[in-house]
Amino acid sequence: MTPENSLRISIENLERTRCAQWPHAQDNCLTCAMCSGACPVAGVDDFDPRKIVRLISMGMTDAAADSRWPWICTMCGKCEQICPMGIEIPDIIRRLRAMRARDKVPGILQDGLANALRTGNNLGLPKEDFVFILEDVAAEIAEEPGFEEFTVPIDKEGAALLTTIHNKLVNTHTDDLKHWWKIFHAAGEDWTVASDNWEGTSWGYFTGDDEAMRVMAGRIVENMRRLKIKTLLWPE
Amino acid sequence: MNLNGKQVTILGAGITGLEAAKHLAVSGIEVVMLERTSQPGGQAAALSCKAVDGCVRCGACMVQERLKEIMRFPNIRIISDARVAQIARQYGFTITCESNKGVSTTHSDAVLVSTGFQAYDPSAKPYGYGYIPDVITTLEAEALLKRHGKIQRPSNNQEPKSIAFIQCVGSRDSRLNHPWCSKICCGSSLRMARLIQHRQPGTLATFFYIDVQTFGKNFQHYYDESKNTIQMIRAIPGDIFKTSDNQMLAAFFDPQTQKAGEAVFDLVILAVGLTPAKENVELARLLDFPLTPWGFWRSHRDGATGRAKGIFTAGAALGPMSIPECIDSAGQAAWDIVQFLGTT
Repeated sequence: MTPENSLRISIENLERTRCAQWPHAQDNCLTCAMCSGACPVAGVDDFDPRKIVRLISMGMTDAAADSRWPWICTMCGKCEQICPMGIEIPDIIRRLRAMRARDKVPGILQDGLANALRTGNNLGLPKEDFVFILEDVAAEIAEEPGFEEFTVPIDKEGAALLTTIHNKLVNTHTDDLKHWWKIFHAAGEDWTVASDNWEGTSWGYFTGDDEAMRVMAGRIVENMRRLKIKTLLWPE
Repeated sequence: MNLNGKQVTILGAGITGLEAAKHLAVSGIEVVMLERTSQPGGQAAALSCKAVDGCVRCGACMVQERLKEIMRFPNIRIISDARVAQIARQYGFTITCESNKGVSTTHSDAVLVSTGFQAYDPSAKPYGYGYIPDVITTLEAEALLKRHGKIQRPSNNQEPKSIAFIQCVGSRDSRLNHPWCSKICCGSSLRMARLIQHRQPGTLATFFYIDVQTFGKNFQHYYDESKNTIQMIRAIPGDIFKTSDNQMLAAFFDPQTQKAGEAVFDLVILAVGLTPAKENVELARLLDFPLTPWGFWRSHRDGATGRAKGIFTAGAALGPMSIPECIDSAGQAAWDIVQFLGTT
């Protein structure tokens, strides 16, 4: 998405109702249970996506919102892929999450989101630590044959591609950075990472908090403007 | 009513077309049947008799009976491997048809569309159909039963010890624009499961379903008995994987236990839905006759006037039907054709 395009769809004016899928397709449910059969967390605390859809269809939204179920879902979207009636179950889950008072959202998500809003990433990782980790990983890559020239381009103005980073990749899964980066290197891609507001994982999106999602998406757009980059890779 | 010299072309020589042909031929009408495949009988001819201790009214024998019956009518002609190339409308219908015997033209006073259905291809469903050899459709299972008398696993020709029957594959599916119930699959799957258990004692059968469609007057009795030997699970699996032991692991959510279930099977039989034949669109264009939004044929009884006059429709071309329903539909259409020819 280019900055110009993002202006045209005016992310600042995004309506809360625009992404909402409420209330409709859930009434088409035939209770075939393919969603539940495909769901990787079905059965955890009796979680059953089929029952969520039925609760909504029957108007029992408060009961669904008050239950633990919406927070068990990983938002993987398999249920929606498989549903023969095309019911957008992750949208329903997100709407239920949005119905919760923010101080009743599971603590780890509250903390991560507060960190993200305050510091630009869910871990609250300081900028110099972030840059150190990226350069450390880059140095490891440069030790591999064929990648001797490798460096990580940080805040490169005018690069062709801006990438976001999932916080776990600079925390417990640093090796997973290498696959992307090696591909970029081999492909001769002109890419970069922003040193501020690099977080790609939006727990505003995940918890149904549209305002937080708007802030975090806006910061990524701002990075694109600042660095004059037209293309965004946002894999999270 | 003098119908001698009247001619009717029947498109499709399946159970519906054969039944209608018989009625029309009795009335002295000249009948030409155009059949797309190499022989008459249609898809119902591939089905096996499902009798266990007695007849279970599956209807499979009815095709063979009708194939024999029409042999005695000199006024029924069947052209197989036929493809309708052109239909001209002037004083009836002049139909140009291509077959491996060349191009032929027939003139008729009325046309009956009895082109049947097309089984849904389940390759797009998450069951590994097409790359796991032991995931097959009901029609493929019928072919195995017909050929061997028993059911075998395509991967190793051994008899399966456990079979999963998955219902509603490609039916009741708005994503595919198939919102209809295919009506016949519950009955045919249960009858097939019981036939296999009768011939191959000890075979475990599991029936995954949404709702069970009733069939026949003895449905309740038949269903209650089925539950004694068939495990019923009111859920459709969301995934099937092939295990390292060459079995199929089905992932489903068991509503009884409220737990994610996994069960392993030697064979998976998908109850594929009845969908409109792919030739319908072209044929409807040639006939200038409207299809339903789903692509089935409309009934000629829905007020056929103007250019639709003289065109009749019957059987599973109208939507999912059992063999007895097709026979009934064919009888009605034949009666309507006779009435039409008697008054024109």
